[in-house]
Amino acid sequence: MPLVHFLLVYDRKLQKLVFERPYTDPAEALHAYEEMEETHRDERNMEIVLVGADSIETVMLTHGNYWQTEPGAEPDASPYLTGV
Amino acid sequence: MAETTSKFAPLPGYSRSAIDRAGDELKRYWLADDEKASVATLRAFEAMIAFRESFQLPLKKTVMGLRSMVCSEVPELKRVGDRVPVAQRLKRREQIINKLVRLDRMRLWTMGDVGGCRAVLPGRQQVDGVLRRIRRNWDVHGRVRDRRDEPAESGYRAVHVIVIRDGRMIEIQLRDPQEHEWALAVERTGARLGIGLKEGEGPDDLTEYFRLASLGMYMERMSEEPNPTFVQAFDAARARAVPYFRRS
Repeated sequence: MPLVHFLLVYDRKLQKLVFERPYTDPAEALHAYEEMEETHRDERNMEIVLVGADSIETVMLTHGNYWQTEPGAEPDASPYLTGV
Repeated sequence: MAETTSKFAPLPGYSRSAIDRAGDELKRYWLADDEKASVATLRAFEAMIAFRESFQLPLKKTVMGLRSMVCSEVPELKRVGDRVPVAQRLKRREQIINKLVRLDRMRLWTMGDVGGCRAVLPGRQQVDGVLRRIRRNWDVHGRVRDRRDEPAESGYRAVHVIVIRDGRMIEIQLRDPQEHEWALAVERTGARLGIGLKEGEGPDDLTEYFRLASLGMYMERMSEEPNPTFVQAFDAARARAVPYFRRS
């Protein structure tokens, strides 16, 4: 599977992803990443990240913190992390 | 250091010292907090972005190789179409500056994780296998940080390796599912509360809880029965941390 780049914007105040877009062209993804960072340069509550993987499902596994944001959101959590 | 620094490829348009000076300017700008960006700051941002861009291709090559190693160690992933739990990212510029601020001696040119990738493997055996392949096939820079048995103070456990690819340092993180679950829980909680929990910042009640949770999960993984003293300490830490986990 080829790599897909996902540009994600996470709003720390709202505690949720407010933007999510896939790019198949790495140069276009990088350009969009830099533009998005520049747009939000002075907004420190916005977290902008570009993650590359074979699918959004993989990104949701490797960088799942952008999706599972509420305490106790993981139903199969370790007993040591229940409710976290 | 001269021998290792010579492994780094030059960056067209910028000297190594220009990149480090850009890092200094960005650190100054960040600490000033509410200051509007000056021309010098904007130029420093440009230099940092150009430097970061130069990691994109080496990072992609590393990730493709890492995916291949993961598939070799986890044969069930070899079936065409299966997803491989490997992802890459170019470090966020906010994180780059934060790291320069947090670690006083850190220089931008030698920051080891501007380009980084992560693999989540089924268990310790597969992590060991991928690590062996990395050591055998790639140019490992510095020492491998194996924090599986001796975690960071925060409780963070994983293997981190830096390799040199096309003259750039690329960081590889190898985690098993439990280590990954713990790390995501810390990231999630830190982001929600607006504290640098994964950098070891935050209230003692919370950091102690995560440290003990990491130890508990480790013992479980190693099939070790937690002793009553640990259970008591963990329960007390969890009770103190509960207020931080109320839903918004």
